[in-house]
Amino acid sequence: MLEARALRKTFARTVALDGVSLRIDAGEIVAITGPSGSGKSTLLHCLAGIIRPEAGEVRLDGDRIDTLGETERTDLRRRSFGVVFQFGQLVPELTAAENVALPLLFDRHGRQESLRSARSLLDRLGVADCADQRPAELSGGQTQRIAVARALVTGPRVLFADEPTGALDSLAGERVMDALVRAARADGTTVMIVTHDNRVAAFADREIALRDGTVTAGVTA
Amino acid sequence: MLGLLVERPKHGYELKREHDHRLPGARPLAYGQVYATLQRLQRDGFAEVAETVQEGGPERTVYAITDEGRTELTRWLDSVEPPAPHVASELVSRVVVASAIGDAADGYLLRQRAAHLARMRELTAERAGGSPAEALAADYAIQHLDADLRWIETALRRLADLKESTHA
Repeated sequence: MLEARALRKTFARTVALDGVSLRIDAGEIVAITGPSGSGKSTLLHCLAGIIRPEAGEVRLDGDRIDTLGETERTDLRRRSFGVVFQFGQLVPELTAAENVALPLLFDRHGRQESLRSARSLLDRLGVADCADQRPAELSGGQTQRIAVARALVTGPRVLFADEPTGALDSLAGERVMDALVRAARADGTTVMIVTHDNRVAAFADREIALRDGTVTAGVTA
Repeated sequence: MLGLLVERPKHGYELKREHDHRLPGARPLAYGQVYATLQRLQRDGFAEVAETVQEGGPERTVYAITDEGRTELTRWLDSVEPPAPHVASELVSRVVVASAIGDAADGYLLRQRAAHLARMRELTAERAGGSPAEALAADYAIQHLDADLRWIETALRRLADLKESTHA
């Protein structure tokens, strides 16, 4: 479903990815693991179409996406991908429900319909009671579950999560991962989680381990 | 055992069943072990026979905790475990021996890493659908496996550094 072949990316003189190949099937939950500086975030950014590799290919359902122009990639990200970062990055002026509804509003869905979808997703992620609160009033764990809801609200094919529990204590992190995995499995969403935490990696079906920009374990491409 | 008796008096079979249910990570208790422990608790004055009951099946002796038993239980709950000397782990021995005889331990470490992570996946799935007691036991096992995994990662880096410095 999502495939990378011989990806290479360098920043200045540092080689971040050095010939990474992998394949992720539809509905799979995969953890990309490795120590810091191993290239895992760069890999996620290449697969999610945020940055372009210098060499190699990224394909979604067989179609090249790394060669698409900026506008097409932005469209693809909005249509097919959801992304969660380490710090929820919610809009501070909006309530949780409005934050979650945002991608639908950008896509010109009606306000009431968008907020309804947002509230139903917040309910599924166990944070329905936070719907009318603003980010400053939320705990780190609640913020991340709301960020997950925002990433899932458009029904993406792939959910990318970059250290989604990196800023949380272990119990709050477990709740975020439980909610994320449950929602993704129910919808058949493919998930790619970047993490340096083995306990988070254990939520995935399998692991792809990176070291110094190359895959050391778990590849089935 | 005293911890299970403190709620209310129970008979041997009930104690075994509750032990196995509440501590799913522990080895199931054998009946012989339950009765031997109950006899020892009686001998030490920590438990006593409350009554014998017969509900259709065989006659069963119901045991109750004594005041001394409650004091002993409090003492146990208040005490701390000595941090175990984990350095004797099989994991460490294998890698130390492999590196001492000049064998590459990397392959073993990566295979062990995969096995540890596979077990962590099972425990994570069990925890999601388990009782609070099962979740506590799973947390304990997961965090110990995680400690091993972090050691494996450090060992891989240390071995790589060693290799580099001997080649340099």
